[in-house]
Amino acid sequence: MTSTLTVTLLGIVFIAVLGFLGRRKPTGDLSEWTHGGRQFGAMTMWFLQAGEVFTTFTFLGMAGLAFSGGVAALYALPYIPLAYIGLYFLAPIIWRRAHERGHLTQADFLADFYGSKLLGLIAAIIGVVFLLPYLQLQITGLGLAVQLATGDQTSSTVSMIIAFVLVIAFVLWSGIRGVATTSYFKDAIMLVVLLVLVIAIPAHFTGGIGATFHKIMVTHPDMLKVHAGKYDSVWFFSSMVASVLGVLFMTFPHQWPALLSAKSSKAVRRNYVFLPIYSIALALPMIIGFTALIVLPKGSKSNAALLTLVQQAFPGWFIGVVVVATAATAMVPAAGLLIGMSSLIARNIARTRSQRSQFMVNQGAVVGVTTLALAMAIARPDLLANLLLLTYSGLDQLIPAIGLALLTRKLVGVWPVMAGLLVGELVVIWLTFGNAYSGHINVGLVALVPNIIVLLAGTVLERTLRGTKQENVPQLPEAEVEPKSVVAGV
Amino acid sequence: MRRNLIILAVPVIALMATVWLPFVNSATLWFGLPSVMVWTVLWVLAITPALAALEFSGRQRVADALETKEGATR
Repeated sequence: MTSTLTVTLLGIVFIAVLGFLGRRKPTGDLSEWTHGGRQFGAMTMWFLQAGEVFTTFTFLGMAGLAFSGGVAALYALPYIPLAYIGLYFLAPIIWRRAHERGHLTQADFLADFYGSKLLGLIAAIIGVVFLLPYLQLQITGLGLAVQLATGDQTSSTVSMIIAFVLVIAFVLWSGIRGVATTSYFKDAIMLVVLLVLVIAIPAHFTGGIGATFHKIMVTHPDMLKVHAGKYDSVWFFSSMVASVLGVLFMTFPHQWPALLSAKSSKAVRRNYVFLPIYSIALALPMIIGFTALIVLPKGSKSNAALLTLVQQAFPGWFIGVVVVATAATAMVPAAGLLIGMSSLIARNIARTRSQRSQFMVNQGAVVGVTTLALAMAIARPDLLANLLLLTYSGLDQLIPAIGLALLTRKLVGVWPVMAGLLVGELVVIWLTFGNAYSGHINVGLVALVPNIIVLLAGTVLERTLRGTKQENVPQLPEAEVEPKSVVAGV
Repeated sequence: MRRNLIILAVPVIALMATVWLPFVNSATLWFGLPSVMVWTVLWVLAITPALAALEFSGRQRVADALETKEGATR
């Protein structure tokens, strides 16, 4: 076994041990497992939510995007901080209502506001289906890192299996507390590794960061500006807007457990004040991607850019450390994704009667979903790749439903919202796979137009037919405000 | 409050306009880095003090005190 693989496997096991340390005694309470009893302060929240920002896609993909698209990759830097500005105002509203009404999931929130289990079911199915390829992306990212570092496919497959069996185990045991304890390590190792790489790689290959960009100025000046082509200004702006809206309106189901685990709305707000600073770290892999632009031949695999340079510049043991950092950016976000997906299945899809059976379904879903994603990552890695194209655009279609549910009054009924959502999803699928669109405006934004038109038309029709007046948000009496009432009573 | 919101709007407008500003979106280096990168990083960094100004204003303290009081009586 090489030193690289030894360090990698030890690192993977260490991450899992940290995950197990998140909880001392087992719990059978889904709320405690999913939200840690809603007791997390701003510091823990910070690491939990920062953990969602940096995935394997960020670590390897940002360098790759800079390698293939130049500064166009920078669209990914401001969208999350921009969304945080809005979330500073909106997230406390969500937190307070979820706290009062016992919501555990995004689908709980929607089902309760619109008074429709069916909408909760649809939102939950959309969430699980679109997050599955995102989960697989984390697994294949880890496998890619090991394969590039060791040059061995078998080591890659074995590492993926070991890492994600361990993820299943610590998530089952610790829930969100395990995600929190691993997040500390993940952010620490990732920042240290990125800082080393961003100094050492340009210094090794080009003489430094400044020299890298001066060479690019001479050899690839177009890469220093957002220029015509695949990644043009329209692509940049619309991708940024679509991503801001997606994060701002909490369309990703796995955003919810981290938010709802806060102990107060003050902790929620404080978190959004300081999180933008962390986003700056996204620029670091991009600088490495620019170095690759000078070093690697044209046509090289973009996602392999960072690790290829690491392999050429560092000794085996340090390559192992870099792979451990990559593994952390795969395992920790994957654990967060699993909590988001399994709670949707247990609360809004399976709809069991007792809390005990709900928890059992949840635990079964963790195992089932990971096994499915792992099997596909090994056997048919390309099968879900196309579905990943739908993830961001597809989840963006939840924006009108969630946005309207943030109001204190129910201005629109459930049927127009569901009709708009379904039309939006169909348009996203048609535009993505039907070769019906060749423009550069983000597909998610394009599909939001028919989504909103159908919603408005449905609202007019509904009001005309029924003569309905604006309804207030139903206020349950205090005794009914329990998690169980949301599941069984909505 | 209004002044704080206006301050908050500045980085939003600056970041959204990044790609449409010719002096930013050009093949030039600022401090040895691409102008788009420097512009983006600086305005993202500006978000934290802008939000902090709002967070640490007296208005939020009053809201927190009310929430604590409601929590205690619930």
